[in-house]
Amino acid sequence: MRSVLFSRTSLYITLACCTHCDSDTAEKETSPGRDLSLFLPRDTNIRNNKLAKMMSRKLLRVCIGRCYIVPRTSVVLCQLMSSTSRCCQVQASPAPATEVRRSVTLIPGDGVGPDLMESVKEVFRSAAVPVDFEELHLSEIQHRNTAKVEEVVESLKRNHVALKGIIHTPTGNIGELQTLNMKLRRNLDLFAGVVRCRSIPGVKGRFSNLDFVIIREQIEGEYSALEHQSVPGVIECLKIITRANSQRIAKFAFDYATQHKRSKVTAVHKANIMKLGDGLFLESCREMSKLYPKIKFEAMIVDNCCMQLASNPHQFDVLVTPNLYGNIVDNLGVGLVGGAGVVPGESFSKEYAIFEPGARHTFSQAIGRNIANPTAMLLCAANMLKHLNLTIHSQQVIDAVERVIKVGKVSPYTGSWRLRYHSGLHTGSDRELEVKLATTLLGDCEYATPEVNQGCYTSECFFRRAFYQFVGFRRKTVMSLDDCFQTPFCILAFLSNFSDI
Amino acid sequence: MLECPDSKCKELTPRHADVPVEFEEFHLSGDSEENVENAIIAVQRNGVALKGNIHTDLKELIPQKDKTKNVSLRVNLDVFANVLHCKSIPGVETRHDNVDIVIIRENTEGEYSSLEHESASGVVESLKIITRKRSERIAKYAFEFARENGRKKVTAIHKANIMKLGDGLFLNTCREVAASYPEIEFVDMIVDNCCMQIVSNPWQFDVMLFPNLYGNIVGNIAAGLVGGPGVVPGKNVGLDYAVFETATRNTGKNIAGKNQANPSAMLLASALMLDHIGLNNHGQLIREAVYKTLSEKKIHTPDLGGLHTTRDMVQSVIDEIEGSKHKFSFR
Repeated sequence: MRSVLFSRTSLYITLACCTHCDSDTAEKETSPGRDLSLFLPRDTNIRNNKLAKMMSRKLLRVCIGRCYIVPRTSVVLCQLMSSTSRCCQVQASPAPATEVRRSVTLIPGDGVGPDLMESVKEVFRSAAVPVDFEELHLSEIQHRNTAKVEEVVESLKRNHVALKGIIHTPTGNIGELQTLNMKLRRNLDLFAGVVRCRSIPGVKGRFSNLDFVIIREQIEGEYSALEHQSVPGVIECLKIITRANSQRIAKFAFDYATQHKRSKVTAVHKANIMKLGDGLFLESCREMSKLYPKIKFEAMIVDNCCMQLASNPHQFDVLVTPNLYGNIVDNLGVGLVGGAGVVPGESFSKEYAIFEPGARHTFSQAIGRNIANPTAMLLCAANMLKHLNLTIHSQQVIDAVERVIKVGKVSPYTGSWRLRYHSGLHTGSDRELEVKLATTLLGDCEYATPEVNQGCYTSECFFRRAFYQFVGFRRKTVMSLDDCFQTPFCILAFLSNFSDI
Repeated sequence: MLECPDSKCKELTPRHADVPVEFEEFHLSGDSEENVENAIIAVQRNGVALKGNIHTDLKELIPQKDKTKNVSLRVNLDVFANVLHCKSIPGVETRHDNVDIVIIRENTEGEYSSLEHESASGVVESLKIITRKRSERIAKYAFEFARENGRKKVTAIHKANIMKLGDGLFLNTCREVAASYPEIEFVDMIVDNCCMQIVSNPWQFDVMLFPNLYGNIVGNIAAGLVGGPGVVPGKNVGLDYAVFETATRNTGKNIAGKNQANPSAMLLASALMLDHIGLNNHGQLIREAVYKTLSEKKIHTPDLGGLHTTRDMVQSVIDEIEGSKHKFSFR
C-alpha cells in the first residue's frame, strides 16, 4: 500500500494506490519541474481500488500529452511538481482500517494544561488520529490529584512517548529541593531539550523569518538541587558540570544539525566567569566540533548571546547550552517569535521522548477563561505524531493550525497577554480556534461526506473531500464524485488548478 | 582615574567641556598581572574611576587562582551595585520605542564567586554564593534608588523555583525590604519568564533587581533593546567608590583601532561620573551634546546602522559642547 499526498494551499488529496510499488524506478523517471508526471504501468493491477483506477484512467485521458508509460512497474504514481505546490510524499501510510492504535502517556500539567489537552483531544478526534492517551495527572501543587513519579515513569516505559503540559514549580522553601520536573527528567534521563523557534506566518513577532533551534542540557548544571546553608544567612548552591553529559549534549547538537541540514552550532556559556565548570562544557563542545568539520562551530558568552538574540537573531542556527542558560535562551527565543502560546518543544533521552510547550509557563491566570492559545500544544501534539511516524496526521494538524493562524480569522493570543487582555485587543479564544480547526480539518460542512462526519476517515474520502472542495469552489454546487469524473472539463480544471502557475 | 585602552578619544570631550578633572591613566588588560593591585589602590586614592572593558581571555582556561580582573576589581572595591539605565534614545532606531528600564544588579557574589573545583575527573562543581547581608544591601539600594528617582515599581528577578534556598533567600530578603517601602510596588518574576517578557513587552518594567548573573544577562538584553553596547552607560557603586563603564562590558575587540566604535556609551558614562562627583553642569553638557548628536544630527556609527566614524561622532559632540558651553556658567 502506498499513497501520495499532494498539497496546494488548502487542498489535500491522497491518492491511494495499490500493490507492489517500485518507487525507485518511479523516482528516477520523475523529472522535477515538470507540471505533471504520471507513471502508469502496462500491467496495472488496480482492481483493489476503484477510485485509483478511475482516477488514473481519467488522468491518462486528460493529460495524454504529459504522460509517461513506465513498463514493468505496478504502481500508479502520480506526482505533481510545480514551484508552488509542495509535494509531500508519504511513505507507507497505514491503511485506516487495519491501523495500529498507538498509546501515549498524557500528563496534562498545571495551569491551562488540562484545558489545552482537551483541545488536543478534540482535534485528534476530528482528524481521527489513531492515538490513545493514558492520562496521568502529575502536579506539585494539587497534592490530592497527583500520580507518583514512579507511575509516570512506568507508563513511559510502556509507551516511550508522552505529551506533557507544564508542571508548576512552586517558589519558596517547601522542604524538598528537587522539583517534579527534575525528578522526571533524571529518572528518564531526558538529557536534551529541543526548542525550535520559528516564525509562524500570521503571528506577529518582532522579527520575521526566524528559524533557529535551541538545544539544552537538562539534567545537570544549576538544576542540581544541591544547596546548603553554610552559616545562617549564607547559602551555597552547587552547579555540577560533567564531561560525560557535556559531550553527550554536544554530540546531540551536532547530530541534530547534521540531520536537519543546519550549518552552524553556537555553544552558549559563561566560561569567562565559571572557568572550570562552563570551561569544561565549552571544551567538550569544541572537541566534539572537530568530528563535524562540515558544521561551523562558534562559542558565545551567554549575556552577549542574549543581546544578539534581541537585536540580530538571524545569525543563529543551532544553539547548544547548559541547563540554566538554555532555559533563559529558550524563553527569550520564544518571546521573539510570538510567546509561550505558540512554540512547541520536546525532550529526548535515548529511549523516551516527551513533547511539551517550548516555554514552560503554566499560565494559571487563564484557567477556565478560554483565552489560552492552544497553538503550542497542538504543534507539540503534531510533532509527537511525526515522532510516532503518523506523518499524514501530523502534517494535517500542522497545516490546519498554520492555515487558521495565517488566515487570521481567529487572532490567537500571542505575545504579551496582559497587555492584549487589558487593552481589549484579544478577539479570539482557544475554543474558537479549536472549532475553526475542527471545521478546517473536516472541510466545510457543505462538502463534508458522511464518512468524514462520522470520523471514519479513509484516504479515499480524503481525496473525495478535496475534490468536492475544489468543485465547490468552481461550481458552487455539490456534485457526486462520479459526476465529477464524467466531466472531463472538470478534471482538466482540477488538474490545471495544480499546475497553472 | 582609571582608563582602558579602548577609550582613548573619550578624554578629548571632557577637555573641551572645560571639566576640571584630571585623568590618572592605567592600562589594564587581560595580559598584564600586577597592575590590578595598583589600579585598585589608585581607585581607592581617587574614589572614582572611568573604566573601559577588560577582555577576559577564554584561552586561559587553565585553572586560575585568581578571579578575572573585572571581578577582582569589583570585589576588592566592594562596588556592589551595578546600575544600568536603559532608555530609548530618540533617533536611534530599535524595535521597541520608549523603553525606560533601570537594571540594578548585585555585583559581588552569586555565580561570580570563582569558587570551583573538580571533584572527580570530568566532574566540576561551581559554587554560587548568596548571602542575606548582600541581598539586603542590594535590595535596599534598589528601593532607595526607586524612591529617589520617583519610580513606581521594583521587579525582583530570581530562579527560586529551582534554586529554592539560594535564590529563595534573595527573594525573601527582597520581600522583607519591600515591606518597608509601601509606596513602591514590588513584584517578582522568574528569570526565564522575565527574558520572554522583556523582548515582547519591555514597558511593564520599571526598576529591576537582580542577583549577579541574571543581571548580566538581562542587562545585556535590555541594552540590546535600546541600541546595543555602544549607547548605554553603566555605573558600579559601592559605599566608598564608584566605577563608571559602559553597560554591557563588551570589549569590541573586532573593531579596535578601526575608528568604528560608538563612543556614546563611554561619553555618557563619563557624564554620569561627572554627576557623581558633583559636576552636574558638566555632566549635563556632555550628555546633551551626545543626545543631540545621536537624535538630531543623526551621526551614527556602524553599530547603529550609520556610516560615521568614532572620530566624526566625537568631533560632533565637541562642536555641540563648544556651541552650548555659554549656557552653563562654570567659573
